[in-house]
Parts: sequence; structure tokens; C-alpha cells
Amino acid sequence: MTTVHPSWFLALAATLFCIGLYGALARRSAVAVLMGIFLMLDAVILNLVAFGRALEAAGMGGQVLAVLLILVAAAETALGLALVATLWQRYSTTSLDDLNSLKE
Amino acid sequence: MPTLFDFAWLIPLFPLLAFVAISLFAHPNRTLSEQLAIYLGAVISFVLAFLVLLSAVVVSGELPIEIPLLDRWFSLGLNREPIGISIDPVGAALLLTLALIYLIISIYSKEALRDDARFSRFFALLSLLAAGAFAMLVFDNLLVLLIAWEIMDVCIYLLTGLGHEGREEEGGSNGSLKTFLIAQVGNLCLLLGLALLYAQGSSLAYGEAFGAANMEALRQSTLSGDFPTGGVIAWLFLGAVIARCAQVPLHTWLPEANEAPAGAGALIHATAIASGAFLLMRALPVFDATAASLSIPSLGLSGITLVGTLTAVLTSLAALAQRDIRHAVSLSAASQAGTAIAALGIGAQVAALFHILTTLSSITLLLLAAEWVARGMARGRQEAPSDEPFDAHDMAAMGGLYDRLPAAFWTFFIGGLALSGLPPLLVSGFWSKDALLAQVWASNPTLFWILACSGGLTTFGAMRQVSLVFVGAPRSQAASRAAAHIPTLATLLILLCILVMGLGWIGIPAHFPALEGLPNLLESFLGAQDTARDFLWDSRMLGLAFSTLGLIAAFVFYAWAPLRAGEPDRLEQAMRRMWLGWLYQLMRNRFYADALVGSILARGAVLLAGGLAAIENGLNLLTDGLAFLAQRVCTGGQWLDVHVLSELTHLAGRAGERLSHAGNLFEQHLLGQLSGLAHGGTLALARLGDLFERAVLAPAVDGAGRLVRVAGLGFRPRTGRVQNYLLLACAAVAVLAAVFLFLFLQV
Amino acid sequence: MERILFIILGTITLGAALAVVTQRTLSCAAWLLALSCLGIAGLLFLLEAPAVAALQLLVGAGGVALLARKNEARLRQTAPPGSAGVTPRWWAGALVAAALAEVLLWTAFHYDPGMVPVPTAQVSLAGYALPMATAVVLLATALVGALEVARKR
Repeated sequence: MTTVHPSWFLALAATLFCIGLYGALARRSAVAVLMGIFLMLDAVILNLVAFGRALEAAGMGGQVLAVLLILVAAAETALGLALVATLWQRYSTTSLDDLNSLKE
Repeated sequence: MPTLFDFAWLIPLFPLLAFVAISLFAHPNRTLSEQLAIYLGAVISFVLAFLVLLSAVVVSGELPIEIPLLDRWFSLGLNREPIGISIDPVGAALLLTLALIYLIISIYSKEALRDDARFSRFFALLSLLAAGAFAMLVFDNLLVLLIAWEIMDVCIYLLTGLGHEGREEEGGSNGSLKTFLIAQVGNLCLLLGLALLYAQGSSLAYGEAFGAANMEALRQSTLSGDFPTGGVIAWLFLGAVIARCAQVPLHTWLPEANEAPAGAGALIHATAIASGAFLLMRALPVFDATAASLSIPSLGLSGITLVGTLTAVLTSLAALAQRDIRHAVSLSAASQAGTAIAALGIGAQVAALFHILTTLSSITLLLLAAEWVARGMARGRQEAPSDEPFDAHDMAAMGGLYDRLPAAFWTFFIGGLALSGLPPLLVSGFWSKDALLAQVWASNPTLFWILACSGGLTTFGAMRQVSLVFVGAPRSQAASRAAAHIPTLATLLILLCILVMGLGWIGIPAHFPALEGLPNLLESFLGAQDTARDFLWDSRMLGLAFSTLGLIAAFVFYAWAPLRAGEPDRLEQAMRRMWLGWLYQLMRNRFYADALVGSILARGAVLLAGGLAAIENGLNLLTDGLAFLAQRVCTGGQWLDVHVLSELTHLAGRAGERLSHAGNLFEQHLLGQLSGLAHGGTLALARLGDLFERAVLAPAVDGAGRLVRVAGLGFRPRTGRVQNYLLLACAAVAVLAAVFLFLFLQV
Repeated sequence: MERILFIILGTITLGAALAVVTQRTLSCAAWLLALSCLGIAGLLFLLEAPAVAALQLLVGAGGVALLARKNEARLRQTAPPGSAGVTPRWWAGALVAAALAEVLLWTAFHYDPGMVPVPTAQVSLAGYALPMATAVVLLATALVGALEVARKR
């Protein structure tokens, strides 16, 4: 697989990350924001594995961290969804515009 | 040439398929779910397990049989992990036992949960539990063992949660949480032990991880110079077994597992004890190699034996004080498991495995019979409804069920006898306990007395249950109308009784009088021999004596003059009278192990959370202070603008006025027309100054003030909108990244 | 050959991702997220990391698809179509994302292995054992906590 230069993978991961970032910043629904965060994590996973393969001295580090990160993404999504469910029960809204009770 | 063993991996596959099919597709359709679960899952795996065991017995000289399956099922970078099948005597025996129990429970549960809404979910989870247990026994890899344990834990959690579902109780689901968390503690120990072992030998297959070369290396190596690696691994594995087999101090989860609906509780008991025993037996090479680290010098015992003995005594004591019929059985199960583990600690492998097998069958029998009794009581309750709180499993409300549920009586009675090991020769429990005690007598007499005592206590407990439930007059309305005619259950239980009685004949010791010459099948199957070979009357007779003592004591306490309604437990009364009331309280609450663990862990977690909250409050104060400061700066700027700068410009304007006035006078009195120009000039200058002040300075200063105010306002970052915070953070990141690129990469 | 695969998978992934962040209907967005995960799993296979790819398939594509399927009704309920739009200041988010994208892409294309300092010692699996074990326990605890938090009172 050496015909595809690592830079392309990095560029892909970067674009995916920024798409996810946009999703997390500009969407109104909490679930949509969670999806954006998941996309960002996916991009990082891709990045890690690509780097891991490109750098000889990293050995297995890239893949091990990628596995860990997949677990983290899954757990974080589950936790986020649990929080959204609780928000829905308490406030009957999941729109982030309305949930600003931290305002002083 | 492919043998039957090549297909052993199908055994866990079928229940797994059943699980997938039920949870994804057959969910709404009940008949399909049950057919899938029973026929696809239980029957096929039972048949396969049976065939595997037969073949294993036939080729018992060549065991363990190892068949590599995939060369790299799990590859992470440069490490490739192979996976294969490994059938060894212990695994094959446990496999068949578990498969049989799974089949029996599937058939029973189909009938018991007929009208229940949780039907499909129950069967899906049951299949997955069985799949996990079978996978653990069939494959040859410690990693698969870990995964299988995790799968089983999730199923146990969800199954006990299912049991709580129908009831709205205060703190109802905490029992299932407790089960899960204790199991996680065990899994953590296993994971750490596994990691250390892997670091040692870079392979997790049983053959290599527990092979001679690895053990040799373990003996030598140390962790950071102070702790012997082998010892640490051994203790970690022991920790995992403690959590799994419900040994002290983690014994409180097993009674909670009874909340699972229908017969799932029995399967949970069986799989848990089997998995713990399996790990212990597989990891014996590690324990042997590190015997020095495991032994406790002052007692001259191995840590394993200590744990087992402690559990055997404490849990059998606790079982005596339980009111719930199932909790007493669970604690007795833990006690028997502890006895077997103690035997493993002194090296009696055959006796230990034998005892585990007989315990598994008698516990299943007892739990299912208890189910029967409970259903009878529930029916009786329906016939005689009243407002009092009712617990179908409360023994204090039972009594006299011998007349109403005779079949249940006989099966429960036989199960109790099997657990106690009486009468001799007839019941498998006798053979296994006998063999075990003989081994212990040969190695450590003190231990023998303790284990024999605990055996007596178990007998006392079992007979106490029989008397409380079946003998005497009914102690409540529900008991007097109890009725349960369940033919399916009756048939299954009769089968189990036959098993329980017949299992003993596979392990007759070599020199038993009058039965010499009968082969000890178990020994030849296992290919191992326990050390004590001669028949010793002493150990046998003493063991029997203790059990019989327990029986007589139970009879005297409970059956001679049966308890009447409302009367407190006789044992409780007796102990209180002997000033041992405190001991009774301890026994009733299972030695407060829950409270101990809770106070250490739970309070620790709460303290940690409190500390973190305090830190967060401090940070809040900091940001509040900064915002306050910014506000002050802005108002200060305003004040500056109003009081100082404008005054200055006013002053400048007035000075210009004066200057023009002076020029006027100069012109008036001295210069005339020449000074007309100068006058005009200075006037113009004054007006320029005015203009300057009005057009430029004032707005500039005003603007500065407004900028500060706006900045103060706009930079009030706590709008409460998460995304605004995120926006700021990401903008900062982008800026910093650009700066970083510029500076450090010299672009 | 690999280039073609890369281009196809990359397009699928990015296209699905774009669709996820612009979709107004949450249930559709969830399915598209699963598709994007599928694309990433394919790319991981391309990168010769089968274990990671398998895990990504299981957790990402499988898990998200399962979630999407089980919660279609609930997603529709909590966010009636049309309200899952963008916040008033969405342009700020787009701006920041674009800026970051610019920086990252520039780095990607001027990347040269010599730029990155990497420890020369071989990192072995055993070295990661303890952190992984800790992480697993923490994650399990977090999940149990999530279950408790979300339980219907």
C-alpha cells in the first residue's frame, strides 16, 4: 500500500476532523453535536493509524492507541446519549440554544 | 484426518447464533424465539458436548488435544495471536455438565415464563450466557477466557436486571449492579495477571503461557526488583477466582444472582463456579511455580487453601441464618466451592474436580426445587389474598408443604442430602466429599477438622431448610393453599436426581472396601492421581460423623417440634440465649462484607468527587474574580474619560480662547491691521483646537472607553451556551496551530 | 489500484460526513454516520491494520447502525424535523473549522517524516498493558454510570 502517500491520509483525516468540528459547533441539537464529536474521533483514529504506519520506530503504538480510541469513542457516545436522554426527561428539549442555564 | 474435536468450536457457536437470531429478528415472535433458543442453542450444543466428552474419554491418553484454528485471528501491528481449540479433561467434563444444566433450564424456563413479557429477552440473554461459558471451555487462549468472562458478566447483570424489572422497589436494581461491579473487580485482576503473563512470555495460548519454559522464566523474574512476577500473577489470578466463585470477601453477589427470572439463577451459579474452577485448574502451573509466594508461613498453608477454607466456614455459617430459601442455597454453594478450592490448594486435583461436578448438579437441583416451592407459594397466595407483604421465597412463611407439594419435597430432600454427602454410597455428594476429606486428612489434619466442621454445618443448613419448608403445619395462609402441578419441572428434576445419585460412581477411590476393583473413571480420565491412596477409616468415619451430627442437630432444632407461625427461628433463639446474638446478626448479614466494601470504595469515590467539586469551585471563583477585574477596568476607563481627559481638552480649549483674547488686546492696543492677521490666525487656531477636540480627541477617548466596555461585555464568556465556549476554544487552537507552524517550522 | 480504492473510500467517508452535519433529520444522520464509519473501516483495511478495522466495523458501523435502528422513533420525537438545523451563529463555526482545516491541510502536504521526533525504542504491547487495563476499567465504570443516569425514575 505504499502507492498512497501518507500525506493523503493525513489530509483526509484533517478534512474529516474539520467537518466534524463544524458539526459540533454549528448544530442546534445535542445528538447532532455528539455525532460531530464522533466524526472527529474517527478522524483522529485514522490519523493515528496512518502515522503509526509511516513511522518505523513507532512500532505498534499507532494501532494500540487507535484501538483504545475506538473504545473511548464508543463509551463517550454511550455516555453522551445517556445524558441527552436525561436532558430530554428533565427539560423536554435537546436544543443547545435553549439549554443555557450556566449563564450568569 | 478431521476428528470430532475439530468441530468443537461449534459448541459455543450455536447458542451465539440463537442469541443473534432472537435479538435481531425473532424478538416479537415468541414461539420462534423459544424454538430457536431451545433447539438451535441448547439441544445442539448439548449433543455436541456429549459427543466431545465421549471422544475425550475414548482418547483420554492423549489429552489435552490442541487443534490450531486460525493463525492470526487478532493481529496488532507486529504481534500475531493464533487461536485454537484445546480440549482437556477438566474442560470436557465441565462442558457436558454445563450443557446439561443449560438444556434443563431452557426447557423449564420456556414453561415458567410462558406468559411473561420478558420472554424473548430472557432467552436471548440465556443463550449468550451459555455461549460465553462454552467458548471459555473450548478455546485455548487466555484472551478468549477473558472475553468470555466479560460476556458472561454482562449477561448476568442484564438477567438479574430483568428479574428486578417487574418490581418497583426501593434501590431495586442495586443488586444487579453489585453483581456486575464485583465481577468487574475479578475481571480486572484477571486482566492485570494476563498482561503480566503476556509481557513475560508473549503468548497467551495455554500450552505456551503455562508451559514449562514460561514457568521457569517466571520463577526468575521480578517486577521492578521487589516483587516476584510469578507471585503477583498468582495472587491476581486468585483474586479473579475469588470474585468468580463468590469466595470471601466477595461472596455477597451470589445470593443476588437469584433475582434472575425462572431458572437463570441456577445457570448463573453453575457458570460462575465452573469458570472460577476452570481458571484455577488451568493456571495450576503458575500456582505451583510460585508456591513460595503464595504460602502464608505462619499457617503453613497456601493462600488458595486459606481462601477456600475461610469461605467454606463463613458462608456455611451465613447460610444458617438466611430466611430466603434461595439465599441459603447460594451460600451453601459458595461453601462447597470453597471446600473444593481448598482441596486444590493442597494439590488434590481429582477430588476437587469431582466435588465441583457434584456441587454443580446438586445446586441446580436445589435451586430448581426452590423455584417449584416458590411457585407453589405464589399460587397459594393467589387463592388466599391478603394485605400483608408477601415474599414467595420466605421460609418463615412456609411449612407443612410436604402434604401439598410432595414431589417438591422429595427432590429438595434428595438435593439437600446430595449437598451434605449423606447417606453414604447412594449419593454423589458422599463420594466426592469423602475423597476430598481423605486427601485433606493425609496432608493437614487441622484443615481436616475445619472442613469436616463446615461439612457438618452445611448438612445442618440443608436439613434446616427441609424442615422449615416441608415439615409441620403451614405458617401462613399462602402455605396452606400452596399448589403447583408442573409436570415439566417434575420430569426435569427427576432426571437431575438420577444424575445426582449416579454421578458418584465415576470416582470411587481405589481401595474402598467391598467395592475394590471398580475403576476410578475420573482418575483415569484426568490422568492424575491424588496422593493419598490407602483407604483410611478414620477420615471417612469422622467425615460421616460430622455430617450425621449436623443432621441430628437440625432434626432436633427444627423437625422435632416444628416452628409455628410467628415464632422466631430456633437457631436465633438458641444463639441469643447463649449470648451469641451478635454472631447470629453477623451470619444473617453475611458478615457485612457488603458494608465493608461499600464503605471503603463508595465513600472513597464520594470523597474524590467532593474534592474535585471543591477544585471546580475554586476555579469558578478565579474566573469570577477576573471578570470582576475586567469590569472595574472598564468603569475606570469611563471615569478617566469623563473626569480627566475631557477636562484636559476643555482646559486646552480655554487656553486657546485666552490666547486669542490676548491676541485681540495686542491687536487692539498695539498692532492694528497687522495684528488682524495674527488675530485671525489665533482665532483659527482656537477653532481648530476646538474642532480637534470635538472631532477627534473626544470621540477617540469616548471610543476607547466604549471599546473597553464592549470588550468587557463581549468578553463575558459565560453565555451559558456550550457551543460558544467550544467556538472560542477551537478558534484559539486554530490560531495557536498557525503560530506554531510559523515559528517552529521556520516557514 | 490502491489509489482508486483510496479515492472511492475517501469520497464515501467525506461525503457521508458532510451529509451528517448538514442533515436536518436526525434518524437519517445516524444512518449516514454508520456509513461514514464503514468508509473509515475500509480505509483502515487499506492501511494494513485489520484488527483496528475489525473493531471499527464492530463498534462504529455496527454499533451506530444498531443505535440508529433502535432509536429511529425516539430520534424523531426529540428533534422534530426542521429544528435540527443550525444555530444562529453557524458562520462562526464554519469559519473556525475552515481556518483549522487550512492549517492542518497545509501541514499534511508539507509533511516530512523528519519533522516528527519519535522515541527510538521499540514500543511493545506489554508497555501498554497497564494503561489499557486502567482505561478499560474507567470506561466500564463510565458506562455503568451512564446506565444509572439514564434510568427512568
